[in-house]
Amino acid sequence: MFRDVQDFVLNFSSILWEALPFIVLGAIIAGILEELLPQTLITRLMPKAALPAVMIGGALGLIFPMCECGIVVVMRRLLRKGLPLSCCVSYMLAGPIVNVIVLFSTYVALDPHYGWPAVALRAGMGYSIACVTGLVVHTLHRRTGTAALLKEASLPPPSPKSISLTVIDGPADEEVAPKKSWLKRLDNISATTLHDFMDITVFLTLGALLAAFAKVVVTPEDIQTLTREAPFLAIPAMMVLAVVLCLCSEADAFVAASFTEMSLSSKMAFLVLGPMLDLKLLLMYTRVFRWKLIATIVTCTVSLTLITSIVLHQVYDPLPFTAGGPPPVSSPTP
Amino acid sequence: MDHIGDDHGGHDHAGHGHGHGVSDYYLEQLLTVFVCGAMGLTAVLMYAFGRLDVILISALRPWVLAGGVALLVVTAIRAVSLWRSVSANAADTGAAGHVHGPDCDHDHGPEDHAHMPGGIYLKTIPLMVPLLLFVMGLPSSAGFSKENIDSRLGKAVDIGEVKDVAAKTGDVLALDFGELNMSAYDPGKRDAYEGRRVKVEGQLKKVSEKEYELFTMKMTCCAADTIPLMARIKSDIVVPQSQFPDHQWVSVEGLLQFVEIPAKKMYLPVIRIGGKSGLGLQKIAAK
Repeated sequence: MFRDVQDFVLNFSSILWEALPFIVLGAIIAGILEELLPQTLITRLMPKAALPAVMIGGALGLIFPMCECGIVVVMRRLLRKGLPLSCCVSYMLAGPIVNVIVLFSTYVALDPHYGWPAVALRAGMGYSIACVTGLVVHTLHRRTGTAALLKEASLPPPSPKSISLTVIDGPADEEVAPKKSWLKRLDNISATTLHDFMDITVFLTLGALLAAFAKVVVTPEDIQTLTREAPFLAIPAMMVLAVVLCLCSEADAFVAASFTEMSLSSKMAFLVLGPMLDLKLLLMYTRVFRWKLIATIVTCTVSLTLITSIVLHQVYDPLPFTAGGPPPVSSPTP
Repeated sequence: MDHIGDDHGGHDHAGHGHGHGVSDYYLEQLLTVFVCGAMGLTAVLMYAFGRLDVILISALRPWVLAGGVALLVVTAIRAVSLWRSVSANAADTGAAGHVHGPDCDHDHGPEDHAHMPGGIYLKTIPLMVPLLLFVMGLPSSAGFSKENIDSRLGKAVDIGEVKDVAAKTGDVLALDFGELNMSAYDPGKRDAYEGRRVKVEGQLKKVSEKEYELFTMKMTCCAADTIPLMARIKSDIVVPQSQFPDHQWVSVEGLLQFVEIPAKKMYLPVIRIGGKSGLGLQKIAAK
């Protein structure tokens, strides 16, 4: 019993403290965005059509690399600033995969036998699933409206001025807004930062507690044993493991590479689903989205990951077992 | 005096006229400042007391320190601002029973500020968990329990009789476990290293009197992503387990070869020890 508690505390603490600096960073960025980003700027810049907006959202991680914990905080503020919901969802889902740091760590972990094809597959699957989910969310949004999908804290503030601003060229809202002192702005940034930090960290903590408990019950070795006995369960089992382990997307490729008996498709299922959906993220999503939207995101990401991984398994598995063997797991490059 | 709540976009008074005591608001804000400050301080102390050593790789520890310091700085800014706001508010109203209205003129928190009573207190409870663990001296430096590690290692795969390979000349190669593991997956390195005398450090787990697993638990970012890296030690003579119990850290020197394990789709590094050159095992301090 004591040793279980010891392992539980270790898992919980490691998940929480690893994520903490990125939550702080996300909260500070959120505070700055809230205070300094003009309310209508994003709306003016983003394309009106859903597809290009979603595709841009999915690629934003290349410009603004954020881990999955920090991205939730930033994304909530972007929603309040008028970034379309579908675009936010595609950024939130693809951002932790389609970014340079994560793709490089994937290459290092899976090199030399899978190497760049694995990187391309992870990026391609992650991006596609994020965009399709974004489009589904766009359709849902049009049918139900914003209030049915977002928590009050994520809704853009009602602004009668914004209606008239859309027909005026230039940064009209900046002109209308009263001038504030830098002390005032600093205080507002600090207020928003602390609020967002506390709000999200509560659910990060609960998610980390849940994940630490699940890790005591389910280990990667259990999954490997299960799939040895029932190979058809390899992909869903790795998806379950991704949700349970709550790994950072910069480290998960090394864990995936350690599953030497698993096919590339099951590793991809693990690497694509994990950054989009895990226990701590699920709880953090509850601070931004209503359950209807969370259910849509979960359904889309899980089903699309399953389908694409099965298709991948059928059409492409470069390494059943060659003389080179599966990839190494020894390069610790976070 | 400014109306802070309307400025920072976190909360908009215009659409609704709610009323709650200003004392509740300040209590919430003070609690937020206290909890965030405590989290920041705990992060700094976790770093200072080396509590992060067992849960994070060295590259990530300064990030936690920086996160803690940043949180403390933001908290200090907010605390000063609140203090100024309280002073100004007291001078303005002279009463604690003030009720918000669209024309009130004092600091106001962001949106979502506990329109349900007690929300802030409920939020505080989970955030006390890491602080409480720190006060209790957790996580301890012991790392994962031996039982957890044993379950991660699993049952040792039977590698059967290992054929002898011709010894190569040259100095003893000092390999770290990562390089040893990497070489098992690289045909070129396998050819280069097989037959060389190598020196590797790791932990022991008994398979039989003459056979031990050599392993290390590799952390990529945090303890939650720890995975076992494994090799095998085959000895020509009995290894006294009283001297080399399970999980003992050792330095191993012997002849390296690689054995194919088809069931695991991998090659396993095997270090042959014993014989004329002595046991080839030496205890070392835990790493």
